[in-house]
Amino acid sequence: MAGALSIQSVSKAYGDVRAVDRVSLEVAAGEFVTLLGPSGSGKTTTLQMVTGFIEPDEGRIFLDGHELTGVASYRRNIGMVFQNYALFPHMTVEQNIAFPLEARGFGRAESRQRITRALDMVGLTGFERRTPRQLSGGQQQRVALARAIVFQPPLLLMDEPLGALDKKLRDRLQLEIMELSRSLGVTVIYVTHDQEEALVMSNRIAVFHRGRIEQIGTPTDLYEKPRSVFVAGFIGESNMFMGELEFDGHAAAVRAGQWTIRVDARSAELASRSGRTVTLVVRPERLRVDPAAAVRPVEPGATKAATLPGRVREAIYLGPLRKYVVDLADGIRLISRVQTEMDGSQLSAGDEVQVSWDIDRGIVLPGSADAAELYGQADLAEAGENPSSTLG
Amino acid sequence: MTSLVREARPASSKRAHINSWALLAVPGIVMLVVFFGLPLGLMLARSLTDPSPVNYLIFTTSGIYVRVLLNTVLVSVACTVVCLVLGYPYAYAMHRAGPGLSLVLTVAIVLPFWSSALVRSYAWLVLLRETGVVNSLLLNAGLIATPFKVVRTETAVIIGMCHILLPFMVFPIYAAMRRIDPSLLPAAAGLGARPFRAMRKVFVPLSLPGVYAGCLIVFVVALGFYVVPALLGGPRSLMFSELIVSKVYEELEFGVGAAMAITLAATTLASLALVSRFAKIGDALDYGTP
Amino acid sequence: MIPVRLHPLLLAFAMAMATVLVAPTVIVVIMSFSAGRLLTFPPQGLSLHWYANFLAADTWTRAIATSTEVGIATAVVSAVTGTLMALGLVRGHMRAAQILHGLVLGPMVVPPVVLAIGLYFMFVRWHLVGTFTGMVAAHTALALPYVVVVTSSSLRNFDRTLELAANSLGAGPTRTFLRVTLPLILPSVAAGCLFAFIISWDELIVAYFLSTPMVRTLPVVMWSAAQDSTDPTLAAVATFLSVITVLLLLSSHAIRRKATGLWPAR
Repeated sequence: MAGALSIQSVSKAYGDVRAVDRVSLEVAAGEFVTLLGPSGSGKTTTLQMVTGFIEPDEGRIFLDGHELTGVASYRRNIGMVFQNYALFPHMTVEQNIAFPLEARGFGRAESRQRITRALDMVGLTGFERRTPRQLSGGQQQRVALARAIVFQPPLLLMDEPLGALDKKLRDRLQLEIMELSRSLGVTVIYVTHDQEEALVMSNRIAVFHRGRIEQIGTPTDLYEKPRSVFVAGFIGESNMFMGELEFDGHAAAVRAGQWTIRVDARSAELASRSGRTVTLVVRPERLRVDPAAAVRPVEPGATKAATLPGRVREAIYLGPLRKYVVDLADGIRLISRVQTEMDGSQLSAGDEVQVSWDIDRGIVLPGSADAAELYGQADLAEAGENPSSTLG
Repeated sequence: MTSLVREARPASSKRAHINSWALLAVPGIVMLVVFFGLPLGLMLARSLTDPSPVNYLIFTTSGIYVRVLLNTVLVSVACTVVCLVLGYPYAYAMHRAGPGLSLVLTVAIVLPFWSSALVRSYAWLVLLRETGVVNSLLLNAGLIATPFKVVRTETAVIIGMCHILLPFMVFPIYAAMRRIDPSLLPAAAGLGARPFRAMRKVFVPLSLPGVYAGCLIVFVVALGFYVVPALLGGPRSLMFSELIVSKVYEELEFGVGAAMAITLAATTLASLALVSRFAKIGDALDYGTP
Repeated sequence: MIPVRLHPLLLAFAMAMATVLVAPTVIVVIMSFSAGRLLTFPPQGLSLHWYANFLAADTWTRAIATSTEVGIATAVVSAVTGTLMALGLVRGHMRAAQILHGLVLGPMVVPPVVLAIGLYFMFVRWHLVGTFTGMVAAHTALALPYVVVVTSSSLRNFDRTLELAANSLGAGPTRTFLRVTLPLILPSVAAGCLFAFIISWDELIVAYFLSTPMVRTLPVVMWSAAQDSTDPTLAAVATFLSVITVLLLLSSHAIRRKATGLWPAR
């Protein structure tokens, strides 16, 4: 059971719209890869092409060297878990799980063994006689999972399987799915729009945007080194400054509105290859917020990118974290996250503050981002008036 | 998730799969064409060729045909009105009733829908004839001196017809009522509308599609009634279908009979086409099945 | 809508209407048990002799047999043809779908007399009058629309992800249809089957034209008897017809209820 998947430059268009645009992806056997992106980004369509529900207009798909393109879905030997579970309502749990085994001609004795083992693996021993109606959402999803792995496919596809469950259950099932896939050694392609889920579960994440893959990498890669504004904005929260890059070959700075902010030269150099307009991204946990009056002692070696005056708009207590929303003079809104334990200053709304961060914590990315486009959220319409904004 | 289903078709042989499902409909289509389409076609042909289109001129030659056709239309209209007046409140009661009452009301309206017109007409006959139940009870109670003569009059026909037609009015209206957003009436109340006003301005207008559908169906079905008028009616209350039957079965004038039948069918279809611009009939038919 | 205590007038009206709707048949049923030579209400004594009369007479028993045979045949043919047709209409992606829909609804819409006469003319020419086959064919044409409507409705509500799931698990089109689709639409098919039987069982006008003294259905025999309305045996016949209809309706309802429990929420 290997499970190496090769998606080679597949495309799918509906009329004028390119739902999937020359997507390529190599997945090693046993890897857990997530296709992450907002709705309409092409991730589900790509998955459907791997299952065989849709045929690509161009490109080919291979599994362990065998071509899948053009092969009917019922001959591909791939397991799939759906968002709405798709359990056969007129069959018991046992019959549901037996279904793929019957289709493959397994004998009764062996089937029974496999079914018992599959149920054990998902923690539903003894549930054979129940019907889907008698199961909770989480249990139904586990049965769907058991059904998809019982015939030991090399590849397992999951289409937003946890979307319909509540948070606690989702968190628990995420871990269970991860452990299960690891113990089985099965390759998993997981589709979700929830970036947190992707970060938790995946070996690698492919971020989809408008039918293309913007970046593929490990969760750390994507979070620490996003290569585009979209990825920076989609994964985790970001503070963004959009402006012009000033680079004299030595030191670099970004002029965003009335602020001039120093940036890391190397990062700037890379970004500058696509033009002068850039976006500076600073993660909220890198942003320091200090009371305006206090002056921090200069630490040896650390250099500040900027010190910007502002006012705390909101101080939000989140348990282990505190989140500060700070407005700068020109209306730019920033977010800072501090661990509660480390939060010496404990600011409140209305406090005058100064915001700073270290130069090497800022990431310079080419181009600017249309705030609305990144999230399509109405409340960002006002942010759109400002050249820089906070996205999270 | 919907996109998954929308796009999904078996990968291989997309074209072939579309066609092979469609092929399944062929036996049914053949059945309907041969045993529905063909008879109508043949009848149309006969009406024009046995001996000639002059068959249709009967409407001008003898007054009885026009009179009966008009009478049929009038009776159908009367039934529609009666059914609407009785059916709307009944549908509303069904809509607002608790589970027990709702069940009773539903059963009471579904049973007549499915029992044969013959059985019900016979039942009314037994009830309404001079030696019938109603008369006996009234006589015994001393409320009347001589028995009522209701059978063989138009009244009996209308009673019998409405009895059978009422479900056709109630179902579409009920279906339409159920589709009304339940939060609208409380919202109207919250905005200051008294119950009657809220009903008049919010609920009733929204239930109108059901009313149109119901009236249309009742009218159309009433036009074609045979059993009830034949059993409960008399010579003065002749309905068009009775005339057709006697023309064909008794007088053996097939050409004229065919012409009359085509005329009736045409009248029915025309009414349907005309009014169906305002109403959705499909839902009504769908709901009628228990 | 949240059920609320009905206005007493409305409640009274509704109950009165319900009574009037059901009363005539109920009264006839009760009367069918009257002892004595005439039907009376309330009956002066209870007796089954009208039923005895009914079941002893050759004309009646033959009619029952004919109606039953025709009914069952119609039910089977309509159910099979109708289900196939519904599948074809709902999943066939045919461009002529609209026209076909009209064709299907046709027999429901056209006055029965019109169809009866048309069929009569046609059957005379084809020597089908008074034949079992002819009667079944005619009744099937009448019942088919109902089966198609009921089955299409359940097909349209069918969750097709189940079929996709079956495919992904390795089931080809045939296995998917037999193990997943068909079992889930079977209740509707069964209901349609029962409706078709009821329609055929109660149908008068078409049967009237297509009957001969040799082959007559129960409603046709009852019709001729009803012309002279004083024969009390008719009350027993009417009761018999109604009871069968009600029983079948209840079964169909039970099947539907069992089925709705199965379907996943959409």
